[in-house]
Amino acid sequence: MNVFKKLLQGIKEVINYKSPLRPPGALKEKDFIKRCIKCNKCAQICPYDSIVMADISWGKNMGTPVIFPREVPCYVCMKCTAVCPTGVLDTNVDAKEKVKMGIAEISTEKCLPYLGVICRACFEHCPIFREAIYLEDEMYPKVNTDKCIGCGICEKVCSAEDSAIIVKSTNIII
Amino acid sequence: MREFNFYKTLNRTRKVVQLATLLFLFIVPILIFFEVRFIIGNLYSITVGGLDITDPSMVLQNILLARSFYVPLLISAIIPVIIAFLFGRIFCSWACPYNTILEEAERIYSKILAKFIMKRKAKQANKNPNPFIYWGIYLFLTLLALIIGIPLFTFLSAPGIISSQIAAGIIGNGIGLELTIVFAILLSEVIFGRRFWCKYVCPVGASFSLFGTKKTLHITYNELQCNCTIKLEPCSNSCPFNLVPKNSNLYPYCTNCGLCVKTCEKIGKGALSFSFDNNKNSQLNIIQDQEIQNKKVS
Repeated sequence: MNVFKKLLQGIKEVINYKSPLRPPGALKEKDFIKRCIKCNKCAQICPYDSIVMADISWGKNMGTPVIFPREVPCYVCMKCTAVCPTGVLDTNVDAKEKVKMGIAEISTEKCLPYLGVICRACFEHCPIFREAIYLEDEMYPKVNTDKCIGCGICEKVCSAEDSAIIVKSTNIII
Repeated sequence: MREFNFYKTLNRTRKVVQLATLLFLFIVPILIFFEVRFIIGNLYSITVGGLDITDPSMVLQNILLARSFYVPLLISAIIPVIIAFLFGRIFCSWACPYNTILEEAERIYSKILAKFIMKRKAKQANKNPNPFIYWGIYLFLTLLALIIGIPLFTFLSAPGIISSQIAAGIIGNGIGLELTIVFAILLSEVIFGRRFWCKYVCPVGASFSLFGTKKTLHITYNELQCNCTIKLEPCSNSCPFNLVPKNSNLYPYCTNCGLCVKTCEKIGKGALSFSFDNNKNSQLNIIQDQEIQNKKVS
C-alpha cells in the first residue's frame, strides 16, 4: 500500500512538473475549463507568442490557452487579461505583481551556484527584481514563494541542462 | 419582374458574404502574423477594434456551466441576438463556413453527377419535421453539457472549430486533430442524411433559433399565386435541408437562405416571399379576392 501511495505521489509530481501554465489571471482549473470558450484571443494578442492553444492530446483541455515556459515564457505584458471576453482571465489582474501562475522551485542538485559555478541568470532576468528571486550570501539564488508570480522566465534562461529552476503550475492541468 | 431580380441578387449577395466570411477567416490570422492586431478572435468570439461580438450559444453555455453572469460577455452577445431577432438563423446561411463548404460541394457534386449519372430522384418529404425533435435534441445537449461539466457546445461548433483551426494553421501552432470533429460531423451527414447536422443537431444554429418570434423574417406562402404543374415542387426540391416551404413547421429548421424563394420566382410565379409581418399573407389574399370579385362584376 505504501509503495502504491509513493507511486501515486510520483505520478502526481511528474504531472505537476510537466503541467503547462495557464495565462496570467486564470481562474481555478475547474472553473477555467467550464468557462473558456476557446476564442484564441489571448493567444492572438500575445506579442511574444507565449500563449499557445493545447492540442487534442490534452483531451477536454484542447483549444484552451497554455504556456510552456521552457519554450516561450510569459513576459507579463498583461495584454491577454484585457481581451478575454469570458472573464476566465481575471481583468482585475492588470499588473505583473498580481499574477500567480505558478511557483518556481530551484533544484539544488542542478543549480550551478550550488555546484560552485557563479551564475545569476535567473536572478537578473526575474521581472519582480530582487524580490521573487534573491541571492543568499550574494551567491545562492532562492525563491520567495509569496512574491514569485510563476512567469517562467527563470526556467527559460537557466543555463543548467534541463533547467535547474522549474515553475510548478498552480493550476494542475491533466 | 423587379422582384425576381431582387431575390436573385439577394442570393448573389449571400454567396459574396459567404465567401467574404471564409476569406476573412484567413485574413485575420495573416494580419496577426504580421503583427497587426486590430481584429482578433475567431467565430466563437471576435473583437473588432474594441468591440466584442460573441456567439450566443457560447454565452449560453458559459452561463449554464459557470452558473453566474459575466456582464461584458452578455453585452458582447447583443449584436448577434438582435440579428437573430430580426432575421432568424441567417448566420447559418450567410456566414457559417461549414455551410458554405457544404453548399459549394453539393453544387459541384450535383453538376458532376448530372453529367455522368442520371439525376437521382430526391426523396421528397411531404411535410416538415416536428419542431419538438429540434428542441428535444437541443435540450438533451444542454443537459448533457450540464451533467458532465464539459463545454460541449464549443466541441460541437463546426464553424468555431474550422475558424480556429485555420488561424492555428496560419499562425503556426499547427493544425491539430480538432478537425476530426468536423470530419465526424461530415460523416454523420453521410450516415443520417443530407444536412442532418445543420438541420437537427447544431447547437450554434439552435441558439439563434431560440430568438425567433412571429415577427422575425420568414417565408410566407401565397396559395393563390402558386401554380406549379411540376409534380416535384421546385421550391422544396431546391431546399438544401429538404424542407417544404409551403407547409407549416418550417421554423426553427429554416435558415432563411432564400433558395426556395429564388426558385419560386424563376420557375413559379412568386408564391413564396420573405416578410417580417405575419399578417401580410392573409391581407394579400383579401386584396386578391376583392380583385377577382371586381373582375367578375365588371
